[in-house]
Amino acid sequence: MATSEWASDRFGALADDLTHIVPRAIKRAHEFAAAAQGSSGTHHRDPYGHTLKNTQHECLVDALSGTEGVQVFQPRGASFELVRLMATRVTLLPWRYGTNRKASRLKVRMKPSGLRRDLLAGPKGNPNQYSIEQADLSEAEIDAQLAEHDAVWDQLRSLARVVTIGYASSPHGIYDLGWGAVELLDDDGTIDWLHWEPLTVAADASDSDTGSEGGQRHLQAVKTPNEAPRAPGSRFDDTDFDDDLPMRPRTEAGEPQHEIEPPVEETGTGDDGPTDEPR
Amino acid sequence: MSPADLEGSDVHDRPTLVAIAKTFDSSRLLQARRLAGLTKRSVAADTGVSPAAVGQWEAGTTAPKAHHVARLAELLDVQPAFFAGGRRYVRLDTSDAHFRSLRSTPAALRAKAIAFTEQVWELVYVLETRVELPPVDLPGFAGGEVQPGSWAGDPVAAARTLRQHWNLGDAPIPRLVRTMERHGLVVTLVPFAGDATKTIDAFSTSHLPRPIVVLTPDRADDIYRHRFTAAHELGHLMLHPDTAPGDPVHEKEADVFAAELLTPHDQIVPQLPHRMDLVELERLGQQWGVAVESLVYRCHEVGQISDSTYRRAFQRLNQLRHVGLFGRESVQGYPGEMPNMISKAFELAEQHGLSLTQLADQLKITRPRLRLLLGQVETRPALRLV
Repeated sequence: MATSEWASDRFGALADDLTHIVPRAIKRAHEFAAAAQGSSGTHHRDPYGHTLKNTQHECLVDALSGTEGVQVFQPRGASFELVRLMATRVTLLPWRYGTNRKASRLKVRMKPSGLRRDLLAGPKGNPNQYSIEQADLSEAEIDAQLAEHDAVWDQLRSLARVVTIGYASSPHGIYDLGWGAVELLDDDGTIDWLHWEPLTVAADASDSDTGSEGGQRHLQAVKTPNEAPRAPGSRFDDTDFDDDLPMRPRTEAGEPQHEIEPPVEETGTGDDGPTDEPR
Repeated sequence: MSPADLEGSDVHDRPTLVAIAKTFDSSRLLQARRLAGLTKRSVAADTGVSPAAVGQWEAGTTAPKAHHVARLAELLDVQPAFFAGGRRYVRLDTSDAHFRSLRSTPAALRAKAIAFTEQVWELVYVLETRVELPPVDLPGFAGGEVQPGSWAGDPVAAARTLRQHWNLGDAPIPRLVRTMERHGLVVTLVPFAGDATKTIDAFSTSHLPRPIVVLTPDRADDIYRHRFTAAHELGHLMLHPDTAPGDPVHEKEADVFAAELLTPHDQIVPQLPHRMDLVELERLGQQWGVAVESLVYRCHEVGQISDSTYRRAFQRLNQLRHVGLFGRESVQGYPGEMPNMISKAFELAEQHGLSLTQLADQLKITRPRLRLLLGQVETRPALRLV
């Protein structure tokens, strides 16, 4: 499958690898969950869902941790870890949007947890509704403000991007898998797919078509922003600085002086005032 | 406990339990109990006396018996001689420190933080009898108190005064914490309350012969937040002789001070992009050692973005940072932002004959406790029974 422009933008040098690694990780997560379901002895699908909830994260982390340019982090308050591509500032978020073949990703809602709100929130406020602050502004000024708002929001999106790995599955198989950009629009869980690309789940786990050895594909190194060559003075500490502290062993006994003693003015020596000197 | 422990002095010439009980320093019990984070009730239960008795020991109306001293030392993880009178003790009150929020820090943790600060001071004092530390050089500070000069009530003027006084010029400050230490301020960054340390914000006090700034490890996972926090505490030290924990006016002034110290208005404003450009602001932030939010604030301050855009952008940036979506750089990668005056002073004293054990004996504390105060990680393997 040829790497799209969107995927190249989001994943940089890792784009080609990720089109294979991500489906394999989700497939592996599904297999763990299906095995848990199989050994549970129940017809209810809770074991599958509960297991997948964890394995989807764990398998992605296992597949990508240790790769140069990839950072694994635990979002505050979350019980799982996520993977971030440092060079492109992209975080991968797996989401099982459906539990059967009929599920349509365009019609489902996303349960809006605090984390999902933080990760996927769209622009706040209705741009078509005037605020009190805008009452005294001209139409042109309001248009300028809205344009500024949109521009800033676009920049915020590019500063920390989330790629949602969406899939529908049950213990019987994975029905749909892809990745894209989701925006969570409201507290009811209404979402907007800004982009979607399907991914192909390999028929077997060996993935011979990816050219990997033993199912483990060798990832290309990606330079993180911190490793990239920097222009002198581009970071605040890029400067000569004497790091030593002026300290030496004390040679005098007695109470330590914490401050530099100010010069003491002689008192009582003037001719025009009283002194304690005996006359 | 042997009979020899109870009478006279031991072979190491340490005071015996009886001698300690006779000169029992009630304030040391309060300090040790606060450090241990225990209530009077739990100390009483473990010592086999009533809570009222512990209250009387702390009030100094009665003294514990020798066997109580031994039990207290064991329970509160200090040497028995810790409770003996006659050692210099500079007492701090919780109202002597600039705590950001009284609501977010439980009273017991604040008390622990204060007792920790007292202990840091004692350590510094003992080290200072052997090593000449950089003299305190903070405008307005003299003899354990601050008297703001012409900058009183004006955080921008205070920051400019400090830059001038410390010859920082108008460039980015490359190593803020080391700069503070070079001017005699004591800075610490240790998990003094274990896992609970993260619930305590950084704080500072100017009510000791050396100002002390206590930075906390939870902010140290983000170098920019760490630097801003250190600058914020400097602001309190220069501006607020009278502490008013959680006072929003003081907190705001300390923030304004920090922003001006790290990014002087006259230097940073001409460098701000003419229209909102977060990528450019992030680059500028790296250059000056501040978070992008700080520069978004500056953009708003000079009217380059509207109120509503500022609010939304700030809220979203906070949201992203809160969840961990920004790659953060830990302070570990910036040695100049890690305090080292205390540990270096000990190294120097050690080279001239002071051992860790001797120092612990002088402070009457355990060696693990001393290692914590020195910022050393315990390297000995723990024995585990299986």
